[in-house]
Amino acid sequence: MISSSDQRLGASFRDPSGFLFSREGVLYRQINKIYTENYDRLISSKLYTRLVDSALLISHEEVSIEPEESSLAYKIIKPEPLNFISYPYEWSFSQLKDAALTTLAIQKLALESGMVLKDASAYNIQFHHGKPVLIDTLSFEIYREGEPWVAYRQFCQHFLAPLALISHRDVRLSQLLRVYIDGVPLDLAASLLPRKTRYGLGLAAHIHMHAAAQKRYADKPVAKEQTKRKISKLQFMGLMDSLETTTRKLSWKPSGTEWGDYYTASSGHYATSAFEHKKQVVLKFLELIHPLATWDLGGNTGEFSRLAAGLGSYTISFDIDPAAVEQNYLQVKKNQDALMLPLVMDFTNPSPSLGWRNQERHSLLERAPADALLALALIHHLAISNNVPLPLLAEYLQSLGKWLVIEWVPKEDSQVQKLLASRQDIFSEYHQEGFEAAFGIYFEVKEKVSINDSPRVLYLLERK
Amino acid sequence: MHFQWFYLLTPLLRPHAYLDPGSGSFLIQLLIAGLVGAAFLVKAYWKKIKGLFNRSDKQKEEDNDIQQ
Repeated sequence: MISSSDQRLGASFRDPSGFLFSREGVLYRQINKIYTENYDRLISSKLYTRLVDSALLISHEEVSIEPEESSLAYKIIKPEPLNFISYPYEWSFSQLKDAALTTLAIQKLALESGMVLKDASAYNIQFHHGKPVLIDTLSFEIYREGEPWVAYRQFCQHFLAPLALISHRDVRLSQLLRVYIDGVPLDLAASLLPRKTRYGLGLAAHIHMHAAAQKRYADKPVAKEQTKRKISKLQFMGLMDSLETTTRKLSWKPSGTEWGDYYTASSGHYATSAFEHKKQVVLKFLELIHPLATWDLGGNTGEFSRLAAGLGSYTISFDIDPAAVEQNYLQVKKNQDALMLPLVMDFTNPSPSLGWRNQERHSLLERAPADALLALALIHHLAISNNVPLPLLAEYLQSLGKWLVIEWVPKEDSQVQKLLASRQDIFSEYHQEGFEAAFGIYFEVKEKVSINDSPRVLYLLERK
Repeated sequence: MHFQWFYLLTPLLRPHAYLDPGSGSFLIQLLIAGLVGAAFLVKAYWKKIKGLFNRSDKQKEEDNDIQQ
């Protein structure tokens, strides 16, 4: 019996091979009859086992439950659940690059088993246990020699174009992925990239020539002889190799920050003793609540996030600065940290709901709540730089998590003084009593500790 | 015209392909694959040759270790 709680997922409609649905809070994927041959090959060729063993594909188990749409159904599978769904416009450069290389690594293994990826969407990759993994089990089809790669355009739009734009132009162009749900249009990428990228065989071919060809054939018939041309397996592998080489060559290092000394530079306003005391207090608070999932809302390079992860909490370390997130991710990779996910997020304008019916990509709020929130050295950025009144801020934070570890940064603090240096102080309510009154509407104060050698105060609050 | 193009393209693509490969993307892929295919072959052989030398170098080192 299908209950009323059954729900087909809003992002799962494009591919007729199957779809995701949730039943009683559990996520399932229906495989349609149309996909039978491909699914059977994925399993019988041992490609599935190879990919899962290499942590490149999410594992699943076949289950015998009532299908969501019986007339179409071949099988129902239950994929291993993920802790959090993140999107490419929330990733740092290396996260997007690793997702691209993972896609190509999967393609290589698939070809060895006589299969091929039929899509190359960045949204099919998620970070699981600290590493990028393909979450769409139905992305494979049997390879037929001669056929071109149907997902070539998608790979270039979802991965190559944004990576090239970050690498050669500006890291902020990653946000084009938020506007263009099927990846950055290649003509736009070509026009934004510097002239030097027009030469050579990498970006020149996959972005510039590609964009020109798209324009040329946009509304023109193509000669019949051309459509009969095929791509040999060797040429196909050459194309994949070229995409891989082009992707690997792209790099990004933030300018204006001392790479490696980043945290020291940004925490320079703290005396060492104050910083150490702050760490001790935050750790003590976290030990009191032992959260399953923690969101560090201004995580910087993740120093405080790691306190939560160290206690076994699955921790997302958000920061507005792509350079800090990049460094955090590289650290996660180095430490093989399975419990940390660094993401780029501007809390004055967090990720919205996007796509068809606004249901394909979830807003940050739709992906909440976490058990615990860390809002350290954050309040002044939202309340003063962004003019958010404290009661509104308290209300918003209450919707994101149950527990809140928040640092009160008073007006006399040097960082707040900096923010007020060039503007009128219109923040008459921005004082500790005002803070306690505003947050008192939504939270109960559990602990309150003044930080040594600093005017700042740490609070542990619980949602009412 | 678009229909005509699509009709021509379909024999190469399977009936259930849900992504539109795009006509320009399809044609440029043929061209690029043609160019990089040969280079890939050379690269693959070069790797093999280099592999042979590396292995013999390694073996020499191992032999030296044994002698010492």
